[in-house]
Amino acid sequence: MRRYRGALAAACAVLAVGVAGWFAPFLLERRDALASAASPAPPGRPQVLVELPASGQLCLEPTVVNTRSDEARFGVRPRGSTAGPPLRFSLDTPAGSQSVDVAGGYTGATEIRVPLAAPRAEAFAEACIENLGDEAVGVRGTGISEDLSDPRPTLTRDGRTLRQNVTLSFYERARSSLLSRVPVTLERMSLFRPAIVGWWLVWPLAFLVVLGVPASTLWALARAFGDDLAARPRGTLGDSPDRSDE
Amino acid sequence: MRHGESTSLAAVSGRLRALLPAPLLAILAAGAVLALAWTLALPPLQAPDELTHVLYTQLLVERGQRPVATADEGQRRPSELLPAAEWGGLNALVGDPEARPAWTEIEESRWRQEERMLPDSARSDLGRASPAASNGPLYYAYEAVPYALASGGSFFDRLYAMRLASMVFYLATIALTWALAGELLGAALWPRTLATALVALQPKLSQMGAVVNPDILLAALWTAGIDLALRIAREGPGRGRSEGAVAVCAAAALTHPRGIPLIAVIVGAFALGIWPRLRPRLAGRAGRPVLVGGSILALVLVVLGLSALAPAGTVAGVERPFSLRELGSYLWQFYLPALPFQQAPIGPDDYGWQNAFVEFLWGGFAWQEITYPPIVYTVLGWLSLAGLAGLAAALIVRRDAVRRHWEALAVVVGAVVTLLLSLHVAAYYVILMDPGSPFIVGRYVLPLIGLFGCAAAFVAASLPRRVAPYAAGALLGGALLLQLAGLGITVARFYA
Repeated sequence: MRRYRGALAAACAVLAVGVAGWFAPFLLERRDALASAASPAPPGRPQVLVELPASGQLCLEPTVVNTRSDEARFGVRPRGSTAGPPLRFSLDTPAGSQSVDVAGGYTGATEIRVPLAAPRAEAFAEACIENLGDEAVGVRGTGISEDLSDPRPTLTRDGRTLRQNVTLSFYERARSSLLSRVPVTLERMSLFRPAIVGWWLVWPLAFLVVLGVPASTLWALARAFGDDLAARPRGTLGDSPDRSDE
Repeated sequence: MRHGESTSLAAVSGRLRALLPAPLLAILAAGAVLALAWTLALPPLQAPDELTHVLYTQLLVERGQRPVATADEGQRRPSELLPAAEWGGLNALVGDPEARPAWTEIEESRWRQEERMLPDSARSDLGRASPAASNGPLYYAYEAVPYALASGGSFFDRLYAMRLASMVFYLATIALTWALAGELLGAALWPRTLATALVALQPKLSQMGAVVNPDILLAALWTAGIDLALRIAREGPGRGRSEGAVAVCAAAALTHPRGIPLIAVIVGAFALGIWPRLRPRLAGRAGRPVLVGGSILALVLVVLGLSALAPAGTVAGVERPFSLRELGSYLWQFYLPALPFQQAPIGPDDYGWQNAFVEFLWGGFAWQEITYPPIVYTVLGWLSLAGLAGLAAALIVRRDAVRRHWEALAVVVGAVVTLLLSLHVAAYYVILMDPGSPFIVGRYVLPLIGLFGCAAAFVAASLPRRVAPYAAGALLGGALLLQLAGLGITVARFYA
């Protein structure tokens, strides 16, 4: 009896230390929350600066926005040491349009964060960046693969299609913890899956992983200790030496 | 009559309980939950070479053909994959921690619209060239069944049906570890339970059990093969054991080139198994070293020969000649610091056992881009060394028992050395062709996962009686932490 209690106590102690020192900070830390990555930057792809000339406009289409997309982010770098020109970010969805002006004066590589009014529903959108200044500016982006394996979204500059993409993402403006995002995380996991996968499967499965797996494996070990105590096997390699020699 | 029925029912129930004891059932249930969770946590095609293995099966089913290694045939993907990958956001996702899969319903419905418009040929217009052409057809023939059963569905339906079918081999590996632990650790239940639970909770094994990849079948076959080898070495090559061993060897060889070295392990076990019958004919004790030495030499020769053939048969253009000295230097420096007179080893810089057998065995999920915090690998590296030291100490403490069962130790050492040596020799050839390739990654040693579980349980069981339960509990608690953390960071990377 004492033996399996010792095993359970040790397992629970290790779990408690891990949960308190590792899991809890990881789950509770407030961090940026991605709403949708319109056009990420794959690591193997060459990083480029897509030129946006004075009075020019870059447009990405189709991008996807959802009810959590209340901030757009993209990277820019003005030429040389000059201050960056003012920009205008606009978003067109079937439900309406919005545009936000970004002040100039930034220098070096800068991440631009544009506050938006999140759409009321998921929608395909056209996102455009317009240069309102007199100087050209580079927008961070990537080349696209030669085999056109990732043709979406398409980037145009003043109406002409480019074989490049700008790296644009939509975020939630407020930072939040992973724990608070569990419901939306599980919801996302059921898309692009067989139709049978839904909340009714994902939620119970999550509970089974978090509670059922530890419970069943700990129970298995405790039960094994209990059965061994009842059977008292002797002389095997599997038990401790001082017991085998009893 | 009723009494007779209840007696036979009780007998059946007793046999079932003996076959599937309660602790094993509980661990299998946990394993099933974990495999299902990993299946859903990993977006489509976000596991090592999953697309390659899916397309191998697709080629078998849709065109009745096996893939070929020649580039002339073209490595063309089926047309149905283009909208699936595009709207699912799968291409940009590979290896990029900043990218996310598509997770909105409008993207899913757009993909469904495009998929409905595809012609029938969109499934079968794929090229025959494949990097997996050298793999045997067994795993893919098995996966053809769920593929065919789900053939009325979409690309993702078929993919997830195949993933679910692969889960069987993960559960089989768990159950076979139970049997293996019974052979190695004796009748006591708790060491068997601990060994089996550690295997079930090993996060890389769980991941591989939830994706389309023959490595999981290989893990199950090696575990079965080592168990059979132990029985043959101890009890002799009876008819059932011999037939089982031949079947497992054939299956392993028909699954993957990394299954072929298992034949050497089984051959060695046969040599050990027939030794008691041969001993009277040999000159007393003097014959034993001859036989053991001869067996080991035979194993080494077989492994060297097979490993040398495998890469040369698939990839042409080895420009640098084979050098035993260079191989030895590479092997030494893979595990140990360089000696003063040694040059830098061939292959990628700073890639050794810590990378292959710690970082990529315990972490490196999806396309290996999902990792634990660095401190976890440092701790795991030290724990691995402590575990090896503990194993050596336990073998010394239990030397009488080990001496009585020396053939079991010979099989275990033979299996470990055979697999590692074959991996290293094959890696050496690959590095000769592509010096930047690490080639050996953690999942390649999953065939030894059952032995890992047994070794950890053996060390725990060798501790003094009062300490052993605490050690067992701490090991189980640590394994649970790693498993839950691995699954958690994978879900967070893709969907949070």
